[in-house]
Amino acid sequence: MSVRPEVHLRIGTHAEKEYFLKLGDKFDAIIVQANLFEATSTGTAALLIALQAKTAYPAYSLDPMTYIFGLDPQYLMSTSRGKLTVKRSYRQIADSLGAPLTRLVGKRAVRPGHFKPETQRAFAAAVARYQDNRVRAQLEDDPFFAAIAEDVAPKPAFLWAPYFYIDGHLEWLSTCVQLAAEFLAVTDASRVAVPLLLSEGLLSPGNRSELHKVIDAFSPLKPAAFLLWVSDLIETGSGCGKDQIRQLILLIRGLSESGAKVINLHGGFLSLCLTKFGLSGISHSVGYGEHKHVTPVIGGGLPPEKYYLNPLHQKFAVPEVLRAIRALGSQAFFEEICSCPICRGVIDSDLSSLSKMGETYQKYSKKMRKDYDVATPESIKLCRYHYLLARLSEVELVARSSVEDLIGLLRKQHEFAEKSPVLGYGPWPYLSVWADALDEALESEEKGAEPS
Amino acid sequence: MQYLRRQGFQYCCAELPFFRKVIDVFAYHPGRRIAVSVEMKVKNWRRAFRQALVYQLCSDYVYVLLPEEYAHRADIGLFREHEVGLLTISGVRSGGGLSVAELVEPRRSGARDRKLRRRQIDKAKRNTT
Repeated sequence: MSVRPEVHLRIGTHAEKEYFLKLGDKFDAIIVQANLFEATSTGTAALLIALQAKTAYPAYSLDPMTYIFGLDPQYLMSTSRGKLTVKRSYRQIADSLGAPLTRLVGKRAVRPGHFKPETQRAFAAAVARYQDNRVRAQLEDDPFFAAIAEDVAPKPAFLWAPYFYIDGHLEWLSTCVQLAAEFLAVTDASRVAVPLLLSEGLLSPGNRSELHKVIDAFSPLKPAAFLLWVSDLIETGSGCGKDQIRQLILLIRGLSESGAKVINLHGGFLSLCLTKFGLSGISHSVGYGEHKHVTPVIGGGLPPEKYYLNPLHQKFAVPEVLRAIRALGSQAFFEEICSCPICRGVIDSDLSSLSKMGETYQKYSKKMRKDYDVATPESIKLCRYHYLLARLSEVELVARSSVEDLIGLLRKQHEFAEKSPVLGYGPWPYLSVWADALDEALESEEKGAEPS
Repeated sequence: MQYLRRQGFQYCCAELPFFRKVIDVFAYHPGRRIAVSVEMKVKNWRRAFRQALVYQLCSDYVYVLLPEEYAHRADIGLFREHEVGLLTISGVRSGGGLSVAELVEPRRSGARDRKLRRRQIDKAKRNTT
């Protein structure tokens, strides 16, 4: 049976809104992080209204980001007039979600012990209320929308249960499960998604029994969906070997057995392939966010713009891509690499025009006291539209392919990558690792056994 | 830079941007109409080699420059196969006069892109004081 993988697109900044307005309806849902909403509530609410007006879209959800309050408080702070204070957006989330966050925000990280059994339900109810009402409340505060807020405010497609970071010690496991159970009790279970934020270490073979404990604790909850986030699991990196993929499949199968959807919150092409083994879909941002560490990046801005090279399912700097495809003609490029409207428009008949997607201009840095090259807004746009279109074509590819087809394709793509020293594909041959892992999973499925 | 200037490269630039990368040395010889890129690394020859391959887009000849004591680690066959030259530098540690030797002679880059090469030469001309 061919099932189309879902893709939930996460909005990272307001600068990205045009991508959502133009292509958002091609994706299955939008994820809005609560801190972005609180920082730019008028703009985000207006964007959701605009999307709703465009089509029946959007199916959106509001990530309450409860886990952030379980981290070192430094991640919630910023310096204002020389004074370290809690960022306004996090303060507002904490105030909306109530105890114990309100009391601890900016002072201490919230711990499992702070959630007494008698307070868990109230907290769970506050998390649900926040998501259900936040957009409407924002519109009610807006003189333009106040009178019609009730009618026009889009409702989230699903609600995120409270979640915290579960590492190999499983300190948060029982509290997360209890909070999710309370959340299910106070809301309509058919709208509940239970997030699992896990450490990458839980996928190592040495933590197999801990992973089983996680599966056994969460799977009886039977929510509509599980939202999986393995901190900093980079699909193309050496930390994602056959062992880790095997454990990931074990986790997906365990969670999906109850009939719940399982969405990988930060995944790429490998995760799309895993929709053949129980995963329902993936999520990422516009051109980035296919992996994410639990600890937020402080400063640094967005990653540099790169070109998503479809056959390698990874992004590369534009000059590297130009060099790697130098021997191809434009027709061969459209056949073998990408034929999206962006690439066709940019390249036309001259392959070297792809350099437009890497155009830079010089900007003076006061800090470095010298000029440095930054990507032009036009090249950023081209790369991001190409990325989104490439992702959509990957979704269609996976939907119409069998596992055997995908394994064959990955092996072919591995050969292509190996021939190109400029791409720096080695020494971690992730494409053949993925192919081997899928092959093994297929074999174990045919035998009806759990992956060994 | 001195090595190239002695050979008549009039326009020599250190750290010349190429997209968001930076070419360690880019030089242009107007008489012979030759553009050369040099990528220097202390130890990681593979990284330097990869970058040199990219610089073939805007150069006629590309080199990797390694300290003499690390040059033996480089895969000479790979350099020859991909038309990349290899230079070694000695005398850095001794503090005496530096000397540069050509271990692998590069071939003219078959990957150069006319527009990118032109643009890089113009940039070098603007940046040469």
